[in-house]
Amino acid sequence: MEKEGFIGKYKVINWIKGVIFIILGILNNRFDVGYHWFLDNLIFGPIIYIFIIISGMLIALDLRSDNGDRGEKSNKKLTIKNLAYIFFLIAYGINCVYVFYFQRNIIILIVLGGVGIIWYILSLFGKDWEKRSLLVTLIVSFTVAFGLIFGALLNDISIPTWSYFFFSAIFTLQFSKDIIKSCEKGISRTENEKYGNFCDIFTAKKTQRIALALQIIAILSLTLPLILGVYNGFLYLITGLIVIILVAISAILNLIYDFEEKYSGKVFVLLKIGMFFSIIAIFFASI
Amino acid sequence: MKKQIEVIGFIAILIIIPIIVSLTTFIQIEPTTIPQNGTNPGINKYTPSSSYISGYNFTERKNLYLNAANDSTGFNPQCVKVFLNESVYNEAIINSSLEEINDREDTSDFDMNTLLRMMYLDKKKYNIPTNLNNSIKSAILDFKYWFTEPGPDDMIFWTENHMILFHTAELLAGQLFPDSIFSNTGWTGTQHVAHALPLVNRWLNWRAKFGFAEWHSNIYYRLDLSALLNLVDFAENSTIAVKAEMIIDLIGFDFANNYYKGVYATAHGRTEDEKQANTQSYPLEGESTSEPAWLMLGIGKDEIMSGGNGAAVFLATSKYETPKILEDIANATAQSTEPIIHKSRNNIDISEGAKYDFSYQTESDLMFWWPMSAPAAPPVLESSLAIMDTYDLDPELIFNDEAFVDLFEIGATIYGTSINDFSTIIKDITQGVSLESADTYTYKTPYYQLSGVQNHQKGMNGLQELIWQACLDRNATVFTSSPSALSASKQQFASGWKPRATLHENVGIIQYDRRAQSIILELVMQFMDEKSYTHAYFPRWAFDEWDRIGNWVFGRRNSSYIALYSDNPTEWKSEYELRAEGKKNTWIVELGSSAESGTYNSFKSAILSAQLQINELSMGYDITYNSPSQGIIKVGWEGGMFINSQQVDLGPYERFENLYCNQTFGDMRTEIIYNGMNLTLDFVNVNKVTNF
Repeated sequence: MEKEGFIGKYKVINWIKGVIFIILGILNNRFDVGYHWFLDNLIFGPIIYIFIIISGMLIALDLRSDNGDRGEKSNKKLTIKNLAYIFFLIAYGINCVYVFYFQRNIIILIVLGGVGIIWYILSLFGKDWEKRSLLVTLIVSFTVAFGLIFGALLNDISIPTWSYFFFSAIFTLQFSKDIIKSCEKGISRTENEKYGNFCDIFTAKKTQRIALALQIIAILSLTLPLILGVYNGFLYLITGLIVIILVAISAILNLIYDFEEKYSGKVFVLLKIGMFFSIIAIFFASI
Repeated sequence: MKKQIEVIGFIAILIIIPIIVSLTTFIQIEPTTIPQNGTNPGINKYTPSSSYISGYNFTERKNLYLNAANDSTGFNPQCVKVFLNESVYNEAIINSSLEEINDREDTSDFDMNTLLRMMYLDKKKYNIPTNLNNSIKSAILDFKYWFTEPGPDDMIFWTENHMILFHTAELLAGQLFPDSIFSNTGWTGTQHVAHALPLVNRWLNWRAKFGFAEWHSNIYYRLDLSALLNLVDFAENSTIAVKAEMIIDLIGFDFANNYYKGVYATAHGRTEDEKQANTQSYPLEGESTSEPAWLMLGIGKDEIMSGGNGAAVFLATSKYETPKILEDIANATAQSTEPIIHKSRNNIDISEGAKYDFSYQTESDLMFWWPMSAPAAPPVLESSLAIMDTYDLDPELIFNDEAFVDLFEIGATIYGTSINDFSTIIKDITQGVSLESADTYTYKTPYYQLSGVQNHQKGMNGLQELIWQACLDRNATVFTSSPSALSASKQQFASGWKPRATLHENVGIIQYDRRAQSIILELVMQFMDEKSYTHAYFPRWAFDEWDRIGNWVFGRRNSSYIALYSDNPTEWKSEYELRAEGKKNTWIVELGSSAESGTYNSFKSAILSAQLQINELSMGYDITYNSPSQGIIKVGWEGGMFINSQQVDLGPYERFENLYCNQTFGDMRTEIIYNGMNLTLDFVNVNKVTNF
């Protein structure tokens, strides 16, 4: 497989994003936590979470693919689905060692177990659902953004409010970005004819409305921490405002353009840049 | 149905994995460290605690010290030469000191107090050669006595000891030359007296009410004593003289209760490595309080004295006499066959300002906060910077490094906050170096003394503190620390990140941890070469024998035993340094003796078989230790310390709580009672009553 094909198929960029967000999650909830506790989390958190992201992306890939579709059993032992389970169980195993040998709160194990069960159920039953592209987008967005919560949880089960808002912002940004992208002509159909992508299933108009709603939630989620306070409000204000402006413009363009008539990549690009600046903003919030 | 079973199977796997992993944690893994031990058969002969009492009375000790000082060519002993009407002085050393004073170098106030003492002692004697006398007079008249005066200087005015030294110098200089014009201010001596009197009085009242900010300092009590003795001997205002005398008595009371085998074996608000950590080949420089304590109270052995200690010289040439009751208490504590517990509190917390009518803004109130090293603490910093601006003060002399002012300003800009709010963000540093209230606990037995400051500013970065120490013999002292790149002079043993030390009788549990700081600060610390370990000072050479078994290190000095545990694995780095990697660690100390624990081997066996559970928390630990001598001890990073379910008193203590004195903190009347004797120090009515 070519390098670019691999990166695209397995969403390697999302792996990197997920790792960044778990680090940001740890950074944003470190203020009443011992330096060593924090440092251990900074080492083990990304190690555990990279396997979770990979498993999440593989589950999403499996749902998109036709292999083993609708209960048909694949002859291959090492299917994408099985690979996803293996990666998840590696993460879960490391997490177990971390919890019991480093005396971490068992809550993080329970939460991860919950994610695993959801993954498993989705992989078993998801393919039966026609609108499974919704599941795929949900899994991808959740996996990317959940690092913020999981990282915060590693430090302390008491999570600052702003971490939830950051999660909400990243989740909605990622989700809206992905569904806008799905409206680009020929994206999924060339890849897999049976899999109907989000835009195909929900129609371009509806997709744009959903994206708009998500963008508004993202703006709110990015704005509220400014009011409720973050660790470094000043630096967050500067970069957070850039994100808000970018998302606001993309929302306006969303209103202006009709993707049923003509798809515009501008909205997607703006959201992509917004995502980049949101990483910087969340990092600045934790300095 | 098959899929449902698969889901259940998956859930079962998720449950089984943690069970297996958790079960493996119960497998006992033997310590990987190879047992080590050693003996020191050539070690100095052991001397019991009761032998650390002088065989001379106060007058005899004074004479002995005068003789020793008269043989010395040092600067302070020149006072003795005046006192003894000698005609030959070390003029070179006096001139050297005058040069420093005229250049207004740091610590000039120390020397100025010595020069003033010489001048007062020489009154009507005229033993000092005229030329030298004129030079000293000139230096006195040209000196800068407070930072509010004009003119450049390189002097620190605001620590507790400097403050009283400067105020005393101004008062005595003004008294000495009442009609002369002081060149720096253009004031007459009388005007300087008027300026200094309320400042001296204020300092004395603060000490009377709150104790010392530089609590139990085995460096700076010497300098406090020097200034106080000058006031006792030469202050024309009797109120000042009496109060100064009573403060000296309080220092004597602290010495009597905390000295053990000639060591000021307690926690110190300010100390230095050189005073605490010695090697076999490089003995201790010696605590600056040793000679004054011997002279005042007969504490310690009758050994060759340097004759050069300023406070001891001042004592020897002073009219001050130690109240008999204090010397008797010092003897009683040294000779007691029963354990003695002494609790005391010094100073207040910054947050208690309102309770004691201190603001964080006025110049006068800042002079309460600055001596406790709090100019950069959260509510004080902005006012500190304003005063520095008003009087054009050198930031390096306030914050130890000029860069800190830039750091405060840049930090406040980055955070978009006020400077005070930024100081709050980094309060583990800015408040940490402040010498806030200290609840000191001392447990003294004929075999050992365990002493420390309870639950004090845990997790904060200190300036020069020693939090606890165990003393089995003069050289056989043990303590721990967590070195910090931000501490004064980057000291290795004194200072560093402060633990949560919790002590009860012969057992201490000391937890080290610190909060994760702002990323900027973490980077600054890494840049400054922050050390990655905690360590113990455990001079193997000072013990008759020592052993390291697993995470425990044992030591025996005659019939006294110590066991020291580190949760992190340890490694000997030198003949005295036991290092454990990681800034988060729990150290446990337990002391024993032949009378309490039987043989050394039975002491070790009992400790090694004691159950110990240390659970790591996000901050600190949750510890359960089944001490062979105390029973089940439970303590965490927060909350109380419990021994067999009974809560231990970790403070806040009263000013004094012991066999001889119980004084409410904040009261300005001390009543010490022992063996039918009574000493009352009444600062409200300025009255010292002795009833012996």
